[in-house]
Amino acid sequence: MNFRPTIRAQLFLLIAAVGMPMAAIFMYATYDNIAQRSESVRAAAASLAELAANDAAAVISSSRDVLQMLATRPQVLAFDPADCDPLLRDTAIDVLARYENLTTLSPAGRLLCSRRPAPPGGVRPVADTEWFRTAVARRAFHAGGPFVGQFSARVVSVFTLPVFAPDGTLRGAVTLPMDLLNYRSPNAALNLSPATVIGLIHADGTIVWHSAEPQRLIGTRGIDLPAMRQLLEQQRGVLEGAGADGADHVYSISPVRDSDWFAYTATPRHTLFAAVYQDAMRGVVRGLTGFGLAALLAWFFARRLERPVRKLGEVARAVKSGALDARVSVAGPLEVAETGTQFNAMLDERQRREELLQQGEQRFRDLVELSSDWYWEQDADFRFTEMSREPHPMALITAPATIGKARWELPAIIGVSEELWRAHRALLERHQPFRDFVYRGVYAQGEERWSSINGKPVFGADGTFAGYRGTGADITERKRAELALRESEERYRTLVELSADWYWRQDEHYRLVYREGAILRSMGVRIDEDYGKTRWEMGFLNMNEEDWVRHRAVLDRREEFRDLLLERRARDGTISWAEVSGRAQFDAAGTFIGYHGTGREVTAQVLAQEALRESEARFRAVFTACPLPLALARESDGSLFDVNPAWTARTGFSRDEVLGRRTVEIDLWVDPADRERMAAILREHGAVDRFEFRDRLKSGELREVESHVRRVTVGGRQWLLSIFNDVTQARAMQRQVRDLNETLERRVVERTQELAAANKELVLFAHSVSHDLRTPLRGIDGYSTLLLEEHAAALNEEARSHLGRIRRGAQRMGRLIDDLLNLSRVTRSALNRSALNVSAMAVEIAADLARQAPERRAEWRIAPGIAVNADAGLMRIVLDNLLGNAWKYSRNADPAVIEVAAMAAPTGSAAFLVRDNGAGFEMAHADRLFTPFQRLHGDAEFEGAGIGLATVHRIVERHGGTLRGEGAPGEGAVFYVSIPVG
Amino acid sequence: MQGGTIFLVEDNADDVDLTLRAFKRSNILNQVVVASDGAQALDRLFGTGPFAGATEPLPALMILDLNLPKLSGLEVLRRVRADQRTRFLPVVILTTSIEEQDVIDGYALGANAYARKPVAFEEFLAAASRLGLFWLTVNVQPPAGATPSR
Repeated sequence: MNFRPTIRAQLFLLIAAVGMPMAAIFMYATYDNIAQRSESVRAAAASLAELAANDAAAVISSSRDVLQMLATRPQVLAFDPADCDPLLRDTAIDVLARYENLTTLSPAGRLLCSRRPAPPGGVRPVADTEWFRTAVARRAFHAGGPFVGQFSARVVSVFTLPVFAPDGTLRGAVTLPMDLLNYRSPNAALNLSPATVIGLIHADGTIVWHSAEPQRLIGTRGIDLPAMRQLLEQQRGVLEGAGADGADHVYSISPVRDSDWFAYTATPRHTLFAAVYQDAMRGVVRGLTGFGLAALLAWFFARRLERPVRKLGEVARAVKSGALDARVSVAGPLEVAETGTQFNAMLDERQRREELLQQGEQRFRDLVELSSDWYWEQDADFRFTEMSREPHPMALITAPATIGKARWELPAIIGVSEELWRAHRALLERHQPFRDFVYRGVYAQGEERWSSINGKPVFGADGTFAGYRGTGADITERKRAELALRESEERYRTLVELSADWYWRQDEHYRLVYREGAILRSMGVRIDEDYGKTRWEMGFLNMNEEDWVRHRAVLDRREEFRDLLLERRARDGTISWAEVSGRAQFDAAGTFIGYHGTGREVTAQVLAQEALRESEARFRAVFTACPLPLALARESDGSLFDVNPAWTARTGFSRDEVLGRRTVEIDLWVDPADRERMAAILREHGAVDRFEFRDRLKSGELREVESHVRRVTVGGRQWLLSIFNDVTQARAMQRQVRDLNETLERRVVERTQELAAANKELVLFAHSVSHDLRTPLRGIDGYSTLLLEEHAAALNEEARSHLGRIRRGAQRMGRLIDDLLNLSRVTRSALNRSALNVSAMAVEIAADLARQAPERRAEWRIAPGIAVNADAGLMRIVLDNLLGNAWKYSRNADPAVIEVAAMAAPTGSAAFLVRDNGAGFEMAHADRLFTPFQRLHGDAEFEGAGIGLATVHRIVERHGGTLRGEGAPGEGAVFYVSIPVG
Repeated sequence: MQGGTIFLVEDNADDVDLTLRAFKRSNILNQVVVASDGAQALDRLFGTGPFAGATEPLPALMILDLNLPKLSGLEVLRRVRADQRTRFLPVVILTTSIEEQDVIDGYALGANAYARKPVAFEEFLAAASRLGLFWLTVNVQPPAGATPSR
């Protein structure tokens, strides 16, 4: 809430703000005054009580002096009632002014001597009075409490002095009863204010004396007053409390010397502070008066300020509500007056601009009215804020009645569906401009008129949406013309519909603007889905670019077209066919306004035709493309109706030469009896299968052919379909194959026998070689040895040398024979493959080799885990040879390094290599490596038969593997072995 | 060195001679009886043919060549093993052939050992010596006429 205090309120606030501290100071001063006063009052009360106490003490003191003086007199001391001291009488004058009497008393309290004569009834002993008992008990002077004197019946206070014998026994007492009603407190009385009372009170609470109303109060129990009780308890000082009359009093008390008495004062409080309160009251009155005056002044000044300012406000309101000529009277203080002057100047300026604006608006309205029928504005909630004039002179709704309502709240507007309203409102919500929103309105006498409105959103300076404004126009005439046209069209269309499925209309740009026909829906077409599209934009499937160019040429010439066949796929996938026909339309002025025409759904017809055509084409294609010769003949006369290209190609006859003719006519049958046989089979079985016969081609060539015939019925007529398979070549080949097979079998038998014989021979040969060739060698070597050993003496050096050569020759031959046998065995023996550990085998062989020549330094590098799938015995031979060679040829290397390592091999193979750092070989001679008895080193260099690698090569080949050697002279050799796994 | 004869079946005189020399050099002093063909070997063993009536004791070891005239060494071996008397007779095949088939057949027919005659005389000596020593001294023979229990 925006609270704005008025000038007046603010001024008052100012005064209050100034006045409050002043009031506070004043109140404090008053309080201080009261406090000070209170202090002085209390001090005065205290001193007054003291004065009164002093007065009383003086009386008591003088009384004691008197009594003590008396007690010194012998006659008094005698306490003889018969001999009373004359002094009792002498002193009476002084005494009587203040005292009631002067007596002497016996120890038992009986009157002995008395200044006054005893009353007629005599006096009672006073032994049990307070004053007597106290004085005797204290053995000292005592001022007693109020007591009714027996002599005068007045209230007295009896001053008693007990007299004791030298032995301490009580001899009697001297008393001096003081007349309390005659008591005065002379010093205190001097300082007494009128309202103040003073008094004396006995310690037991009995009032001894009271300055006011002594008769009534003396002897009463003053202690019954709460204040008095407190005073007595306090014994000295000042206190405040409620008096007997209930009013607040200031009390003071002071003990009276040498007695049980206390002097007290009591002053009603109001009398004490009256002056202070009076001062305070005066201060308050003065202050209030000051405030009043200030407020009055403030009110006055506020008025002077407020009036012109309020006037400014009023004028501003007036201007706002249209009274542009309202002006402020320039008055008030300088600043206000200046403001008024400037305000007026501003209003002048504003009025001038307003007039300019109005002129501008008027121009705008004139323009709007010239270009439309009316002008309207809406606020941000689409409620009309302005309606330039009534939509129509006869409108049921007057322009003012539309203000504050949205367009859809106007009951006179009809003919707008819920959906259209929703669309319209959605558009408005998006703050988009709109054009040509058409509705009907109900006017006077129920007339309906058409309106079209345009609108545009309005945005404030800060971009916030402020509403809409726009124009409206009455388009009733246009609409009616349209309706009339449509009606006539309707009639026309009804006629059309009888002859076609739908009616359509295009505008001058060939865009579909209308179509109607119940069947469209069943074709999956929404009536308006193509509105605004040309026919070539509708996506017909069967039309290509060229077709459309042709069609458009027709349209451009404004010619009539008929039965344009169109295929379309609806959104639901339905394929439909239509034939449309159209004719150009011209208006009264002869201007082309578009095409209109009819459409007919022909899907079923087209599909049927197409199916037929397709089926025919399919079978035609099959017939034509069939690589086997086919012929179709009429069963009735056997004349050929059709033959396929394979048939004409085979026979050499053209279609024209054979169609309509019978096969016998073209001399097709080599043996006409075959035809008769086939006809018989056909008659018997209704079909012919694998009928073989010989036919004659056009070239005269005779061929063998296999045929199948089927009887088919098409269109109620019987046909014979024949298929031919030329088997001339196949038969010839079959015969040839048969011949060949026979020859082959014979040859195989022969060769097998030869091979078996050869094999046997080979075995025998091997056996013979093994046994028969070696035996003589052993003899040669044996006897050479015997000769050398047993007849050494008979031989000279040369002979021994020759024998050694004989032995070496024999032994070498033995080795050669062994090697040859090995090689032949490798070829002959069966292959028993198993998983072999090449590494283990190599290690074993290496150990053997090393044992044979322990003096050689050699380094064996045998990789573990090399495995091949091979024959164990043969693989042993392979490794024996390769490692043996490596060992042999690395004889001169120190140390010899021989390596066996696994190698990467193609899938399905295992491979390893054997490498040495020995003599190596010339790669140029590598092709001779594996040839038996071919050696790359001389015997003198390295002994050997030249058969080891040949054997290895043979073995590896038997396993289906490969062996490859690489080397360089002096750099060693390496052999790669690859063995397939399977 | 046990007594008992060595029965050498060998057709080649040179080989016989060399074998005998080898035994001699190896200090194998057993008596060596030689048969020069298979038939003779069997006759001698079984006391048939020309040897009918001869009551020679069974040899301690039979050294058999395979390549023999008349009956082949393997046939001789087959007959020796087939006969109750000689079924435990130690038979060592000493031959030039090391045809795999021969070796297999030899062992299959019950040869106790199969040795090859080397060409080099030193090796031949060594082989003969090893054979004799093993079969005549180390090997424990079955009692004469023993049959295996079933």
